[in-house]
Amino acid sequence: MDCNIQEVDAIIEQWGAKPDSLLQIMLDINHRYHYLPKESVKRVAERLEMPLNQLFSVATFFKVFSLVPRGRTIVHICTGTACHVKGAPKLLDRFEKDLKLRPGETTADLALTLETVNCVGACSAAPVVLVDGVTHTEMSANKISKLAKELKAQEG
Amino acid sequence: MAKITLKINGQDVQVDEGSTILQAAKEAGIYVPTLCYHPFLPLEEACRICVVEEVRRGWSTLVAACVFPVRQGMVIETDSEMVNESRRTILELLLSDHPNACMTCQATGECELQDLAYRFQVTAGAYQGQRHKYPVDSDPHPLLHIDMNKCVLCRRCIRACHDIQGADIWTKVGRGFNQRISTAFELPLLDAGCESCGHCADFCPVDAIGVRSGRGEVRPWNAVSGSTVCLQCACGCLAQYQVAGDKVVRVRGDFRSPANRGALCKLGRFNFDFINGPQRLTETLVRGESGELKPVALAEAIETTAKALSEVRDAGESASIGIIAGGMLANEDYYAAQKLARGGLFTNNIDHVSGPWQLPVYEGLSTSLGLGAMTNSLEDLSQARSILVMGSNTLEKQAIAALKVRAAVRGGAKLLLAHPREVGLGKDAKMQLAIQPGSEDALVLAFIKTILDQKLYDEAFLEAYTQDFDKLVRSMEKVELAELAEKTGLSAAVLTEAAQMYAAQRPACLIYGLETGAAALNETFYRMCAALQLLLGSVGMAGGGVNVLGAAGNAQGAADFGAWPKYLPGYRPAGQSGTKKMIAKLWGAELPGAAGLSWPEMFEAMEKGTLTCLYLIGVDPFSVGIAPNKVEAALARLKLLIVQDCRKTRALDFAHVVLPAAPFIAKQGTAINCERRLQKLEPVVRSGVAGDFELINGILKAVNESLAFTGVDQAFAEAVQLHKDLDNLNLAAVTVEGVQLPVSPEGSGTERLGLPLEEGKAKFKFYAARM
Repeated sequence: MDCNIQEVDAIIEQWGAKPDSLLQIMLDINHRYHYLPKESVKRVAERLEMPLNQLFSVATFFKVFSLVPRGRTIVHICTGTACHVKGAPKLLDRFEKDLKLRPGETTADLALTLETVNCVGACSAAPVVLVDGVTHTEMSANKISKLAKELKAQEG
Repeated sequence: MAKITLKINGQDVQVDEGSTILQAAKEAGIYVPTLCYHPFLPLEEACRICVVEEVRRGWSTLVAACVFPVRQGMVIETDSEMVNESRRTILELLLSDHPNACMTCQATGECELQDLAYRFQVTAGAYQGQRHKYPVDSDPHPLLHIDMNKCVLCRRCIRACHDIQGADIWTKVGRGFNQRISTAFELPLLDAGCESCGHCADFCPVDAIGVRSGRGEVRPWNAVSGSTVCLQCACGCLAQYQVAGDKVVRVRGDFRSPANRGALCKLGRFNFDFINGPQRLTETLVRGESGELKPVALAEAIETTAKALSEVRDAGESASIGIIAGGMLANEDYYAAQKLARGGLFTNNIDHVSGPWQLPVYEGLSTSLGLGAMTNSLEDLSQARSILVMGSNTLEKQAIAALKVRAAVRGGAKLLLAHPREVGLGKDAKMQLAIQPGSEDALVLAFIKTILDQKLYDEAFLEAYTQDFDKLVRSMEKVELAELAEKTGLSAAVLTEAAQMYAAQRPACLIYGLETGAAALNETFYRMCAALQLLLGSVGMAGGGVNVLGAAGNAQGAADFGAWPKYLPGYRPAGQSGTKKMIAKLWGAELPGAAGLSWPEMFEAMEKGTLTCLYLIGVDPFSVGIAPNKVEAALARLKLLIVQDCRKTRALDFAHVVLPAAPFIAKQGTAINCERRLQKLEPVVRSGVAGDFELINGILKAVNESLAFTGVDQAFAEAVQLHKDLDNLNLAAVTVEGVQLPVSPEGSGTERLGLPLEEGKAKFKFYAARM
């Protein structure tokens, strides 16, 4: 998605062009584009009168930010201890087989991004998968296959 | 300030409240290791190697000494088992992700990690685990060598890049084990905007960021280090030269001088090819009958020169002799050169390359603010609240001043940058004024006009310290803003806005960087600058002043020591009979009467054929801003051209005598930087050839033996008698920090000029009609 400077400016205006607002502005931009386009980061640095390198440091520190385009939907497969024991690796394998997607990768049409997460605090329901923050519990390889199909259909 | 008493290793230590444990330990002479800490950088607390044990009742804890403030009654152990075990673990962890290839590492011998590992006897291998694998020499930067495998993540480079240079290139990327030092969007350094100052390499405790020069060729212990003043620009930075044989390997900033406090610029740090390179001049040459330059003994060349010059003088044609000195000479060199011209050869035709630019500064400022030099100290600039930078590309030509400007901007100052082109300071400027080249005078006048019209001046200051304010107002009535706007190429609205911004915050700081080759502004401009600053009440205080940055390394010294045609040492007018008598008595020689020729006038005289003998001391005539064909034509007409330099220049093609001289880093003597700081030069390299002073003195001796000096010290001692601002300064008493002119009889310097005296108030010297 192309970055629209007017849109970025509007986000900056909303929070105020001051260094204190940096995180809120970056979160909103990240939410709007599903990542932080390079142009937007430069624009924010310019408007907030902050060095670009400081913004880059912030952008790479927090996992919520991405500097590469990400999918409209983000799937998190938990690989914490409980989920691992209950078969998270199998879920990853199946996901890769069905959608040709490995952790950290995004589909070419920018529909889906797959991530792993170390624990979501729902170990009793392991293995757990989050789709845009919605929890899917006690997953299996078949269940994730079905989920993958549904996600594809939604985009279709 | 309240004092705090604490116990370190059983010893009572008293320090100021707010000190850190590390500072207290230092005061008590107790060693605490550090790695990320650097006394000239802000605190970071990244490495924790400085941990010490704070003992409380019944329990104790480890705290980082570099950041932890002292508290009354605190009990600290710096050498306990707990502390040492912790430090060893930290080192083991650092070494577990470090190449540990000290055998081939360039930093071996001066590596802080290596020193710590040695001190605590820690070897690699305690922890086996994941290691980083970055490409070695990962950046194509022509001067820096990057190997992030060696990085210990102390972030000194980031702090140096931000707090000293203000370039903001290096940054930390990612977090946890994946954290690394890189640039925004991980671009190569130069693409990211690197200014090649090299501070990151200076502060890197290991060899993650190093320099390319000397790599794989010279071990640190095979080089000798010495400090002297860099004369490549007017900032006069104290620099530490690492030298192997007669070659410079590396240059580092020296923290002892207040001029630069460890900072250096690209030029000072990396430009030493003229010392090392094949362009070095080493042979004494004289043009023989056949027209070829032939090697001769130095004594013979000096005798030939002196004989030829004496003949011209004895024939009563002294006016056809001229001497032009370069910008990188010592004060004593300038003094000796002007003594040779005046006392030895009976001519005032002596100038230094930046003379035409420095002369109006002296004539404008000495009559308005008291001394023809930068009124404030370089360090003062960082205290400014609003800044107007004009003239040279400051970041390149007088970098240290630009760094201080950036420090002020970081502290909230507003920067107005007036320059025809896009320059390095642009990214820090609140407002960029793309004025027509050489229209700074119109700009300053427009500021004065706006400030008067809108009554933005400091009335209380004007009342207390100035007179003739009404005269200024009256003379400005005739000035039209629209006319000034046209001259600057900006609109009247922009000029008004700029003037308002400049006047809004005080102290306001005016900076004008001189540049040889640029159009020289007349003395009225400098008087206007002084008037502007007086209007804003920004004179005589930190962060204010009229700050004219010299055009060459020792331009200020050349002026003070008399290397120009109109003034003798100590700014004594050349024609004045009292001065002539007094100096004639001191030297025992008759002095010429009228003022001599400036160097551009000398070139004109050469073309006309009225100046036939020229002595060039450290000047490349082809780089002074005159068209090459004109230089050629002028030099070709000379009957005698003496070229004295440390490097080969095109002038050699026209020379009759060539005298090889030592570069500035091999000199003994003194120099004065733009902030009037007189500093000592110490030879840091053996050059194998005589210095400028020895050569000039040799000619002087052969021309008139009674005028010759016994040495550099005697030349200095003689010069200070003639200069009231040096007031018989005792050179031996001058410390490494130098002393700022004018010097009091007790030998203490003057940090800041132009604070108007209670009596004999500062006067506006202002002639708007001359615009």
